[in-house]
Amino acid sequence: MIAESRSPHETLIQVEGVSKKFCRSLKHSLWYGLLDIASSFAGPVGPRELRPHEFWALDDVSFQLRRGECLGLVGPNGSGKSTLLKLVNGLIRPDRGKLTIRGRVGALIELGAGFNPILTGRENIYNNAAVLGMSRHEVDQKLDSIIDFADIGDFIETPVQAYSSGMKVRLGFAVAVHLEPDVLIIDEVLAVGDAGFRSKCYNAIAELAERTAIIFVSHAMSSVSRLANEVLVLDNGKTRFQGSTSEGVLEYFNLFATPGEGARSGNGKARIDEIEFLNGHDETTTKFQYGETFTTRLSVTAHEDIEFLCVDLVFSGMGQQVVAECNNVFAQHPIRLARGQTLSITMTIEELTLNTGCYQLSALLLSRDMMEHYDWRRDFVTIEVLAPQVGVGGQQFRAKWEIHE
Amino acid sequence: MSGTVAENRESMLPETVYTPDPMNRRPIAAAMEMLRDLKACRGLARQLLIRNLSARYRQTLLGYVWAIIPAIAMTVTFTLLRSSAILRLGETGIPYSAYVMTGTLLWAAFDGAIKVPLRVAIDSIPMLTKVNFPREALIVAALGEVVFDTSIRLLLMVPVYLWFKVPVPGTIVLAPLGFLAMMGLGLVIGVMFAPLGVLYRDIQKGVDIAAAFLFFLTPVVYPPPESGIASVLVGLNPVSPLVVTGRELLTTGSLTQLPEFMLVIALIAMALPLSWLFFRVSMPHVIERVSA
Repeated sequence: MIAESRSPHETLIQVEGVSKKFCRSLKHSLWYGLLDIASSFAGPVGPRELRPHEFWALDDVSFQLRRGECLGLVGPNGSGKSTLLKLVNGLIRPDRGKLTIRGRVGALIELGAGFNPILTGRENIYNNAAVLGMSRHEVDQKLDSIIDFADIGDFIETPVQAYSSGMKVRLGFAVAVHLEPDVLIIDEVLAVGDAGFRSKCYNAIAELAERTAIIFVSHAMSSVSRLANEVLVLDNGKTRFQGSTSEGVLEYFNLFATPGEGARSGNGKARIDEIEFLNGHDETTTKFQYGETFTTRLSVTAHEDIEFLCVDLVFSGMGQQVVAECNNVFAQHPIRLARGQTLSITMTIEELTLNTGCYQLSALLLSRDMMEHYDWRRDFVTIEVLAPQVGVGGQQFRAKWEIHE
Repeated sequence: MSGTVAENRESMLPETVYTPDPMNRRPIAAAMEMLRDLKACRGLARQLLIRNLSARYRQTLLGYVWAIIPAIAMTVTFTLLRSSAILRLGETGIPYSAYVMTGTLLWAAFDGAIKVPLRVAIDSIPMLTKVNFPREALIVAALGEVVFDTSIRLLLMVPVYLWFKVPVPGTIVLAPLGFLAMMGLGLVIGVMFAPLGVLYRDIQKGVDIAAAFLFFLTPVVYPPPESGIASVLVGLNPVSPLVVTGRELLTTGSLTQLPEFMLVIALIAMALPLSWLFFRVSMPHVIERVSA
């Protein structure tokens, strides 16, 4: 899964203690822009402090990237990802720190820059390519390959204003992948286009990945884990984590976890008094390794006679979707409670095969038909599961593999 | 180029360093850098020019005829105003229509050089905030548009010589100098205001009004006044000697404001690099402020 670098490669991106200010108010922002221009001429720029309405959109970020490596840049909206990309791309300058970029920079951010809507696709290939830094000669040589990649048929001779949005992206992407960059910046562009084109894009990027340094921004952790071999998590402009993809993805999910916020409901015929989770070493924790034993211990008290109590543990992913569940009705394991009785229940899952990520747990006490809710502790705790890899599914089954010649 | 880069990947990679200070403070190195970027942007400028020109009139019926219609309209209008005695103007030496036509052509070169860079910069904001390309390319492409329009409009000189019987002077070979001077002065202003215009939209409106005002302080449609406040204002206006000399190169051949013309040319030669430097240094600041 992780691209193996073939030989020790040179560093192409070096970001050293970079900070960037932004201004919340447009009026002030424009005025500061004017002042900054004036101060550029007045003398060397000294250390810059925050002025009213300003904040650090990026605060002391450092990393370096070699050829053949891919950095996954993740974080919530407004955490500074786009600002960092703009700095690497040389569109804006840092307020502190220094960036050193070696080689040609290609950006899959704004596909189809320089397109003029009333010119044909063929004409616009030249426009777009020139803006991205390709010479006319280079475009002449790659023209067939570009048209081939875009795969939009006779539309190549049609004005771009008649294109569907997907066709524009196809043409833009086709030009961009022919740039042969040393440094490649990718920002969420893969979300557009149909499924066939998306897989074509992934393949093109995978091919480029071997000889470029890539910065990949995405909110889709499955894509990040697929492309990146290192992750940098930004939060409020600061580096929250930098390191392995699995841990980075976990850290990212942790940014959205809201522990102990879950609501409790139910009619109270039975109540969960206590609940705790233990790992393979019988330690109480909320952090687990993929594949280890996951034990839930709870004590339950009934306030009425209950013939068949259903204890249900539900695992939800960060998008609120239920990814796994464990209950005793399904296991055909009856639990009977008399009024006033307290039971201690231990539920052991031999192998926790959830994928790397954060999961919110809900515990429910239900009637046998699961219609009547006695106690429902919704999303009352968040657990982390760390695997050596990040998969796309909620679970990564452990299988027995047999390979025959 | 791509071949050699591919072969010598490790050794030939260009290195770009970004620090908080956008200005290179060693004058010679800075000048070299500017010239290098100007050279590097030729291909892109050419492509942008082709794009702008081929797109400009594609959705019209008359096409490039639109490049000359304003000059004809201007000439007809002022000729009618004068002949119906609404305007009282002094003697122009050559037929009045020829006077207005030559003045308008020269003025259009100046006007275009001021306004086209600003327009191109504002139109390119989406591109500027997303793609890093040599910003000079926008200016060079804008200048190309002005040169192109001016060349087409020069066709209008043919009827001036044939119809109004203006003799063709020997100085006509130097006439391009007059147009270049007009464009040069326009560029000094246009290049400086382009970044500011991206920042504040007031600039474009202000420049339009200022240019309209300056038009009437320049002997484009009337001969330079001999006395009064108007004569002082017109005399101080640096565009005046350029229009007067440019017109004389095209028509009479006797140059009445040559020293003033040379002085303004010298000023342009000094101011244009400064204007360009201002453009370079301010563009990153401006782009930062307009990018969403």
